[in-house]
Amino acid sequence: MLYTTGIMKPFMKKYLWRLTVGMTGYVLGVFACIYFYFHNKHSPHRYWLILLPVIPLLYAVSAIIRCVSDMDEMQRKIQIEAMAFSGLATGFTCFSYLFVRNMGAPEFHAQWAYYMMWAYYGIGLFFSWRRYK
Amino acid sequence: MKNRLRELRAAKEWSQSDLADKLDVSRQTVNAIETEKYDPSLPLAFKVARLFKSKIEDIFELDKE
Repeated sequence: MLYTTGIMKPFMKKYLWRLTVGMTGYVLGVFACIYFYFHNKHSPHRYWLILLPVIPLLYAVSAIIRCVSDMDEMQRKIQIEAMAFSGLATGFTCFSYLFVRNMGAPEFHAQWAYYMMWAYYGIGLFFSWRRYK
Repeated sequence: MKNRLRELRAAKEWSQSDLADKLDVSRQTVNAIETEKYDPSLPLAFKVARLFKSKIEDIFELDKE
């Protein structure tokens, strides 16, 4: 009943709810972070402000992990393979950049790693899904 | 790993979706098991065996090589 009916699976409902809470916390954290930064620009503790949006993001990550662990075993395998590919490929790409940087490659912006991670996740998901299709 | 899942399902006149419902997995999982692209976990194999009132080894068989 859980997987083949058109109704959203119960664990997905929980996941969406938790993700919404996490992302709302993240947005509030970003606003709080900006507010505190501009009101305490010279505080030596200003770098701790980064924790304000990061803590709700950790909750969102735990929601994603719970969602994956509640999935059907094959779907879970596909997701885990895609995530493993994404993590390793992003790590190795970033590491490889260190070599090309010395050869005059353009500066690598930290946010690129995030976009790259999602791109690799999509590639991994496609190939993993195709394997079991 | 070889299996007789498709044959057993057909004997009961169940669709892949029916079997997926009974096993609490997705239809894609049932399809992947039937086409031998995915080997089920031990708990799922037990579930399948229990559903068809058979032994695991009567449904699933390791490849010879």
